[in-house]
Parts: sequence; C-alpha cells; structure tokens
Amino acid sequence: MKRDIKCTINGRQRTFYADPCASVLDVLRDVLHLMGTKEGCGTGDCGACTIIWNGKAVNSCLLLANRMENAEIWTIEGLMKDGELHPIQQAFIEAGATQCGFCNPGFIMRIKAMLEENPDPTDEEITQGLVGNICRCTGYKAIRDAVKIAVKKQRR
Amino acid sequence: MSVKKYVGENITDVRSVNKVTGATQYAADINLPGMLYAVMIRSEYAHAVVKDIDLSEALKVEGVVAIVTYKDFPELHFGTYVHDQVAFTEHPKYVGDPIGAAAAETEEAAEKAASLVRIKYEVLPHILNPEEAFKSKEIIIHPNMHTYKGYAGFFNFKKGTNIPNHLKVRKGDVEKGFAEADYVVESRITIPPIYHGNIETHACVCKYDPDGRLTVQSTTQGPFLLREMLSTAIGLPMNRITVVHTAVGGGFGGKISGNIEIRAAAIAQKCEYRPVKMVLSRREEWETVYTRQALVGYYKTGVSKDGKIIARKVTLYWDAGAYADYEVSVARSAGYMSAGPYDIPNIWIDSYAIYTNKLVATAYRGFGCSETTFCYEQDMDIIADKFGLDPVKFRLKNALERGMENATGQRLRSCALKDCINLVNEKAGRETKKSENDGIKRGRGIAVMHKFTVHTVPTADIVKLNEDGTITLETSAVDIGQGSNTVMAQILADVLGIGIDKITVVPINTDYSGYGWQTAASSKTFFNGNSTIRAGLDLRRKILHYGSMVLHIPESDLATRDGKIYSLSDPDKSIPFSAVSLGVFNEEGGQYGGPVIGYGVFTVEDGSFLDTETGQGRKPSAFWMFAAMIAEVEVNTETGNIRVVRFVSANDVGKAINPKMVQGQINGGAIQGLGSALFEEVLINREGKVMNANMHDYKMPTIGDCPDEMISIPVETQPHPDGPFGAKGVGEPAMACPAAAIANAVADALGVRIYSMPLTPEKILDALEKKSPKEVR
Repeated sequence: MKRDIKCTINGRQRTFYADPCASVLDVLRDVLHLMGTKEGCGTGDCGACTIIWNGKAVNSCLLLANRMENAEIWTIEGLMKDGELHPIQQAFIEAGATQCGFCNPGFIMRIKAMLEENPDPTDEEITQGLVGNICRCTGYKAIRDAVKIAVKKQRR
Repeated sequence: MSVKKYVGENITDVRSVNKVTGATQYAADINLPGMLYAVMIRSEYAHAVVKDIDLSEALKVEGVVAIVTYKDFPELHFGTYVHDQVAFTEHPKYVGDPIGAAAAETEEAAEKAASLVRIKYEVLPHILNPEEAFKSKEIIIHPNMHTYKGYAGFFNFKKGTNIPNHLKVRKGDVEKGFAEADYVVESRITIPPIYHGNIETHACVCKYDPDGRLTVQSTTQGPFLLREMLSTAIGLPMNRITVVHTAVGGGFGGKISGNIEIRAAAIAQKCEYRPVKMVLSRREEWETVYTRQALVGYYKTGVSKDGKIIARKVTLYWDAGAYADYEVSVARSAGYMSAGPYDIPNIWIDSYAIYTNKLVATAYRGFGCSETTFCYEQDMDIIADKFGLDPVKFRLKNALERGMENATGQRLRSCALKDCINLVNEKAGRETKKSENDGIKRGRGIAVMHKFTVHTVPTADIVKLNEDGTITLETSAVDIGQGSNTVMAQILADVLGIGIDKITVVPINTDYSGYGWQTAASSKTFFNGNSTIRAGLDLRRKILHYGSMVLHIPESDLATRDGKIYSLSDPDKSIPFSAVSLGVFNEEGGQYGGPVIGYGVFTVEDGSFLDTETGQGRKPSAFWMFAAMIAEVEVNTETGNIRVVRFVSANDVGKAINPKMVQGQINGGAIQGLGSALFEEVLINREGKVMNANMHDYKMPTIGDCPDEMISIPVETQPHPDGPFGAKGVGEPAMACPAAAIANAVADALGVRIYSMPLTPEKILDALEKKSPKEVR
C-alpha cells in the first residue's frame, strides 16, 4: 500500500507518496523523476544505481523504499553546487572516464562515499572500493585515474 | 600569430558534463504524457509452431490497452542483411522468439497480461550445435530461406540447408603449399557465445500520429538502418518514419540492428496514438536478444624450414542463432581476414554462417578478430617453438607491410604492423619479476591482428553557420561513447578555423540529418571524419566568397581563424563569421546568397566486392587496421586461476585525432577482451535456454580483474593517404589481441595449450593434469 514517506534528498526535505515495498531506484526514477540514477541489472550486481544513503554507498535497486523514511539520501543530481561541478565530476572529465556515461553516476556516488571515509586511498583500497561497479567501456584505467585526480583536487 | 589546433590534442569529451551530472538522457529516461508500457510475449521453446493462442485471461488484466500477436500483422519479412524475420512469428525458432506483445498503462500490468497469454505449441526438434546444423538434412530452421531477400555478397545461401552464407577465399594452391611445407600444424578452436555487456539494456519509445507518421526514439547505433528495417517490417515509407537516437549506454555491436523497436512500433499501431515504451530487463536482454556468435574453427598451417608460412587452410562454422542478422556479414568479413596479418601465398578459406535454434548472434566489437586471432596466434607460437624461433622475430618475418597484397588481393596503403610489434616488444622490455611463490607460474605472450572495415556505406554530414557565428554540426555518426562527437568537433574546428567551444554536435534525426548507416566497423573517424572535412570546406568556401564581397578583398587573400575571416596580407582587416551567416546585404537592403550550410559526403570510389568463387577483390575494405599486444600472466597452479599482470598494446591508427580517447578505446577493448579470455561464456542448456542471464552468474571484468600495468600506444607511423589527417580506426582492434596474448602467456607459463575460450580454472587444472601430450584440445 502506498503511503507518505519523508526524507532528505540532495539536501532538501521531501515528502512523497510511494509504495514502501518498491525499490528506492524505482521511487527515485518513477516518483521523484530523478533520472540520473540508472538501472543496469536490478539485482545489485553492476552498481549503476549507486546512491549515498545515510553516508553509505548502496545499490538503490536492492533497498526498499521504506528505508527512505527519515533517511539522508544523495543522488548524482545533488553533486553540482552553485553551477560548479563536484571535484569528482571534474576528475571524471579530465581523466577521460566518460565513454558511454551510463555507469558514471553510480561510480561517482561510490567514489564520493569512499573518499569521505578515506580521503587518500591506496591503489588496493581503490580496487576494493570500486569492485562492485561495472564499466564496460573504459577498462577502468581512466576511472582509477579519475579517483587519483579527485583526491588531489579535494586535498587543495 | 599562433592558431590553436585541435586535431591531435587530448580534448575532453564534448558531452561529458551531462554524463557526470546524470543529465544525459538515455532511452529508458524518456517519459511522455500518456505513455504506455509494452512487453514481449516470447516463445518458451527453441523450435515450435504455435497451434493456438488464448488471450482471454490476459485481456482481463486491468490497464491492458492492446495485445497483439502474429495474427494481427501481415507477414512482412525484414532483417539486417537477410530478410528472414517477422515482427511476431507463428514459427518460433529460439527460446524467446517474439510471438506477440502486450501494452498497458503500467509495466506491471503489461507483464502480467503477457504472462497470462496461453499458447499451445507443436514442439519441433531443434538443433543447437553449428557443426550438426551444418550437416543436418532433417532439421531445417528456415525451410523458405531461398525465398528471402538478401544483400549480394552477404547471402550466398545453400538451398535446403541451414547455411545462409558461405564465403570462399581461394588464393594460390594450398595443397601444393602443404606438400612443400616442412612442418604442418593443425588446430581446432571452440569459442562460446558471449554478451556485449552494455550496462544500458535495450530501450525505446515509439509513437504513431493519426496522420500515419511513426516516431521512434531508441538507444541505437544505427538510426538509418533502423529506419530501413522499420520501413520493411511495418510497411511504412521512410518519409513517414522518424528515428532519433538517444544517448547510447554502451553498444559494442549489440545495438546495431533493429530489434525491440520493430515490435514496439508494431504494437504502437494499436495503442490509440499514445507513446509506447519498451525497456528490457537485464534478464530479458540476456535470455532473448543478442550474443556474440559461437565459433568452431579448424586451422591448418604449413611452414617452410626457414620460418616462412607458405599455406593456410581455414574452416569456420559461425553460429548465427535463429536469424541471420549480422552473422552473414561476420562469416564474410571475419572469413576473409581469418588467415591473419601475414604474407601467405597459398590460402584456402571456407567460412559459413549457420542457423541454429539459439538466441540471435549479432555484430560484436571486431567480430571474428578476437576469435580467429585466438587460434592463428596460438599456432604461430607452436610453430615458432617447433623451429626454435623467437615468437616476435617469427611474426616480423611473416608480417604484412605497406604495398603488399593481403589474402583477398587488396594492396595495403597503410600498414604499421611491424612498428606495432617492435613497439610492444621494446616497451614490454624484460619480463617483470617472477613471483616468489612456487605455486605461481609466470608467462608472457604476444598476439598480433588485422581488421577490415567497410567500403559500401557512404556518409553525409551537414554543417550550419548560426546567425551569431557559432556552428552546429549535424553529424551522421552516432557517438556511442567512443567519442565521435568530440573527434568530429576537433576536425571541424581545424577545418573552419574556429574555437571548439563554438561548435555543437547534434545527434541524428533521420528527418534532417545526412545519411550515415551506423556506428560499426571502427569506421566513423575515417568515413565521417572525411565527410565532416568536406562539409567544413564547403561551408568555408561559401563564407570566404561572402567575406570577399563584404571586405572587398579577393578570396585568394582571405583565410579563416578564430571564427573570423581575415586578410592574409593585412590581418587587421577581418570580419566575424556572423557577418556573413545569412549571406551578404548591400547598402540598399538587397541581399546576395543566404543562410550558410556546408554539406559533405564521403564514399569509397574504388571499393569492390569479392569474387564469390575466389574471394578476391581489389578493395573490399576502405582501410586495414593492425595491432600487437604483449600480455604477462600469473597462473596459480593450485587453483588454476589466471591473473593478467600486464598488457602492452600498440595500435596502428594512422593518426590519433584525440590520443587520450584512442587510449580509452585500447584500454576498454583490452579489458573486454580479458573478460572473454578468462571467464565470459553464455551457458545454454539442451533445451536452448540461457542458464546465466544475470550479472552474478555471467561475470564481466571489474576493476579488480585489471592488470597492474596497462601501456597503450597509438602508432602513427603510417598515416592513411585517404584518412582524415591520416586517421584510420581503433575501437574494434583493441579487443582482438587479449585472448590470444593471454593464451600464449599461459602456454609460456605452464607449457599447455588451450584452444577453447574462456580459459577457466577448470580447463587449466585439467590441462595440467594431462600435461603430456602438451596440446590440450
């Protein structure tokens, strides 16, 4: 049964009417029209739908909407600030980590959560942090480069 | 005065801001007022005839608007090369073959309705193995094949068989070659089907207007091919069909042919002129749409004592699945390049596309290259080993070079293969440190390749000068992530003499964009690069003409730079492009000329078909690409696990218009190739049903599977005389070498040969157990 759900999305209080048994991914896309979060598999295997939920990067296709209640959620739409790209977004562009772009929002949210916890990850920590997100285009080299560029940018 | 040049620079992706902010619109992101959702009704059997279909329960589902089946449409045949499909079929030929579709107010209602359609089948015997299907007289999957329409050169069918195409190459006297050879090596390869693995599944939105016009928005690599297929399948003239491609979330060949769009458009005819959206789930995408073809291949190679290859015989059985789609093209093109990038006087090739009752195989990044390279490059190492030759020197001795004729008799005008081999050898240097652990064996392998492109696909590009002096390029290249929008903008900026920030590249709308068949065959930089240059030059000629009238300076003294027309002899005299964007106005208010548009086309004027009996032809491919790669691996002899620790790649690109994007292609192809080499395999059971249509049972490479080191070198020593700034292509060759290089590295590490992809731990352990004889087939 649909009901009102209240939470903070991208820094703004939102109340919406949704099925608490729907996936967060479906609610974001179909109810809140936040289309930046992508579905690649729907089974938690590809990471394209990664969002930040209460400070953690999660696959939004596996999280039920009732877990949105009173949660703090960040999606890709919340990263640009005052018309400026977030350093991770800038780093993706500089590193050439945008090919088809479909996995980019998920990767960027995963990296944001990772760097908030560990602002200067080692190569091995980057690998461990990103192993749940799949990119078919880049061969990951440019994505790894992007993380390193973002680390430098954020240190400044 | 210095002028900024863009060609050759690492310009960042012109569409990247939208990609990193999630603003890029993919087909599944489109929501229109009144939109319905459609799902397919698919066959449960690999081969059957539908005897009865009962819609009564399905029609009771709340929200259902229409359910259609094969009964509702005339049997209009369509296909990419062979017209062997219909929108909905009474005679399903694979598990998942579309029989009908249901459209409803919600996706859930459409799914429910589709699941409630009751179908009675007469189940027919099916056939899944291409070698069996090749011989079969009992099971003929397309009994009416001889009545189908198909493209010449791509549809050399044999009536009464399952063979829609047979490509022959006959060069020299292969049996004489074998008789003269001092050593003959024979091998058999098997390659399973694999997935394209595009993270965005197939999706589209179709809408009819009451006046009979159809609009299709789709994630497609080929809007014009899609329009052609829609026109044939639906029976609408092309001027009543608009195809617009959305952003494409990964293609790799899997979005080249029309597929779900045709079915969605068919049901949209019955949906009250409302938009109809179809989005495949991962499971449906992988159970029922496309794979790379499976292959069984046989190689026989004869070599003389001095290490010269003198004869090669190749037989390839390509598993097309239920419909020919791109597979007849695979059999043709992969066939004629299957002898490898070597100078071989005697060649005999038979390459067959074969129908089976499996899901459809289609184009896949560099089709045929990775598969045949996997075989001929392992054979090269076996031969080198036999003669005690260095594998690098042995390849250099036989490698093709500029001026030589290849297997089909095409004289090469650009071939940097030897440079690629020398470069990877040099960059790889000495082998990296061996592991301390005794159970880990380290090895190194090399592989080289060549790749054809197309010749019969003209492109047309249109450049508009806007009133404010900025530029809009209506490209006919679909940017599927490879970066063609950026590359075309770089080329155009240099041709026109304008900042790249003043150029916008807009996606194809078949109503007004110039013709461009599709993004395929690593052809866009070469073909569209050329037509973009010509469109730019056409526009530049016009603005110089108008500029001459405004400035009262002869055209011969005018040039363009930084968005201005200026005098070469007196550079202070200049006007901005905007001053002539609408032509020239005189003082009385009259006007000469008009809004400025440049138009450019590119065709391969000296292209040629292949002779059907000998496979010989002057120029079946506009250019050839070459590459070499060295892989280093560590194999755990306890677990059979392979870890690639290093890739060194060199790709003969003619000229890198954007070196960083070229490296992006090489790196991406390397890891896609690594996946196919080590773990990717679509598992199909005896009933023809896919068993691992999800991303946990079908594993694709993650960042954790990548080598510690990847060196990717664009090689620019052989600019192509016809290429834009000398450029050729790179996307597909990037994927061709990894599997072969890894297999050779494994053989180097363990002394065992594995001729079947993927190189799973089971195969490694099995091979180690039976280490004698050395070759595991």
